[in-house]
This record gives sequence, structure tokens and C-alpha cells, in this order.
Amino acid sequence: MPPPTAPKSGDALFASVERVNAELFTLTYGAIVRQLLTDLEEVEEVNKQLDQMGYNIGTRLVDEFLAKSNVSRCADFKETADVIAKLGFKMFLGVTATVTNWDAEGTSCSFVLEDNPLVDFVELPDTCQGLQYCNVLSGVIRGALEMVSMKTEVTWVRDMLRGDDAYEMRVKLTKQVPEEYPYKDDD
Amino acid sequence: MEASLAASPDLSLQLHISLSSSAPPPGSTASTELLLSLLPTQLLEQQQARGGATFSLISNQPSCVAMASAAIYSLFIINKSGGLIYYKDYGSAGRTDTNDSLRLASLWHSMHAISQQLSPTPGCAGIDLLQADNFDLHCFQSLTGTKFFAVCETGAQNIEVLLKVIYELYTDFVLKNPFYEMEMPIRCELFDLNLAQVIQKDRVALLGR
Repeated sequence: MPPPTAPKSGDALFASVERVNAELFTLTYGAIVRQLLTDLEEVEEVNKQLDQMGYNIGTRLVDEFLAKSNVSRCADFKETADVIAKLGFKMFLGVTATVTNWDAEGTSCSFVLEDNPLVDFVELPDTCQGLQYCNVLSGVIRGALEMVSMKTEVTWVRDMLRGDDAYEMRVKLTKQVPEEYPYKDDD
Repeated sequence: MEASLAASPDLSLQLHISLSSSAPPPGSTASTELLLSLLPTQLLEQQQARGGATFSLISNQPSCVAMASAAIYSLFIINKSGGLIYYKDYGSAGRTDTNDSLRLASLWHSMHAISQQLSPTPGCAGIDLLQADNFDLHCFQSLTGTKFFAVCETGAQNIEVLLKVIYELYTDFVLKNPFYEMEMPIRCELFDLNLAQVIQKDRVALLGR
């Protein structure tokens, strides 16, 4: 086995992992959302559950991503956002996101997705107007970043299912908590 | 019986097995064939010297040279808070009882953290290698804080590669198991099985174990 070298590009990463039929993926996700709506009935509750599910997925996904992509520690949040958009989204969803709308401090940015395999063939009915269909994605990002000591808040700004032209999620870095050995106690 | 290994300039691996007596003892051909079937190499040439007592194997897979070439005594995996989640020993040289292994793991976790603060250069990520008289300790820490460390014999090569492979096995068979609770001790049979396969393949890759 050759020793690990430079991190792979997005396309190389996507080609190296096993892939699943896109329809199966879309149908499975759709079934999950429908079942949650039937069980919980409240659109807000479903949003919360999707986020929680995404969070649990994200905490496990991040190690997979780090193992397969060989990225080294990012120097700042800007680099982190680039890695997520170019490598992370590409590896798991097969689409690349663009990073835009940085705020002045560099702690908040938007990921814009033109293409989203979760929502193929989906139309939101009038009864589910508050539903954030792709909320699992925001949970995944939040969970993954928390495992590398970054606390974030993720919200949806634009949603194609609501009539916008693209999917945009806003990621805000609230706290960076490096794991420090509690050795500075002076008692 | 003698075995020797040589790497030739064209990066192929040559393994020579010669039997001490001129007449090969019964069953030696069978055992050599068994040996060949275990090796992850492609047999390019099998020469039989006069007297039928020497075999040569030439491998065209230079990648097996990169495998760890020495024995690993034990493997530890610790979670981000320093608790031992997996421990496996290979052979009596690495064996410690449960309490000792727990203590070792937390000790290593603390030393690793302290070393980051002691380091004279900023941005130190912790101890990678500890070399002692009788053993080497290689450590790999993922960006999520999980540490994989292996106690192996002195001069072991490419253990870092092995640890990265074990990290990949961890992400596959442990993290993708929906019934595995994060940060808890690993009780996944598939992980044990695949880990054993990797270690075994690693040992067989260079004969002489």
C-alpha cells in the first residue's frame, strides 16, 4: 500500500468511493421525510428531527471523510469552508458547492448548491410550507464540524423547493473550542 | 531451511528459500505451495535448482515492500476524552491485563496532550513516535481526536501506514455500524475480523515470521 501523499482532488475522491444508485438515495430520503411527517405531524418537529438525524450522521461521517481524503488541518475557517464545498460535498453527494458571501470577520459564509440529489423529483405541497426538506444537510455540517472542535449554526437562506433559484445555506462559526488538556488548574 | 529476501534494482522482491538437506523432506513442496498461496504476490518465476532444493519467487508487486516489516505487539485505540475503546495484543510480548491497558491508555493520552504544550515549536500535534530499548510506540491522532497507537518491536517500518489503514477500518466497520455508540468501547465483530486480516496479511507479506 503506497504511503499517503497529497490530499486527493474532489473528482478523484468521488471516483474512489463506492457509489449508490441516485434514485435509491432520493427515494430513501423521501420515504424518511414522509414517515417523519406522518409520525410527528408538526412541520417544525420534522425540521428538528431531520437536523438531529443529520447531526448524528455528521459526527460519524467526518472521520470517513478525513480518512479517505487525507486533508491536513485547515489553517482557518475559510479553508475549512473550501474543503467542505469542494471535497466534502463532492465525495458524498457528487456535487460541488460554491462558497460565497463571506462576512467581515471571516466566520460566516454561504454554501450555494445548484444541484441537489436529495430533492430530485420533489415538489412541496401547500400543507408543508414550513418544511426544510434538506435540513439533514445542515445537521450533517453542524455535526461534522463539531467533531473537529468548531461549533456552528447552519440555516437555510434559499430553497429551490420554495421557488428560489438555488439552495443556499448559511454557516456561522460561533465558537472554536480546541481540546485542551485541563492542565492549567492552579488548585 | 533458510530464507532470504532481496530487493533488486527493478523493485521486484526476490525471496529465496533453500532447504539445508540436498533431498527436500517430504511435504516441503506442499508447504512451500501453501506459503506461496498466502503471499499476496504474483509468482513470476519458480526455478528449481539442481537437486530440487532451492525455490525462487519473484514478485512484481513492489507495494508489499511498503508494508510494515516487523511485529506489532499491541494496538490501542483511545477516544477523544482519553478512554480506551479498543485494545488488542499480538503474542505474549505485548500482553497486559485489562486494568493495566486502561491505565496505559489514559497515561498515553495525558502524555500526548502535555507534549503539545511542552513543544518548543508552535503548532505541535503531539507525539508520533516513542523509541525505547525494547520497543517502539507509534501514534496516529485523527483530526477528530481519536488516537491509534501501536507498540511494536524496535526498528519497525511503515507502522504509520498500518495505523492509517486501521483508521480506515475504524471509519468503515465501527462508525458506520448504527448500533455502535460513539466514544464507547468497540464491540464490532466485523472490525475485529478485518483488523485480524490486515495484520495477518501484513505479517505474511514479508516472510520470516
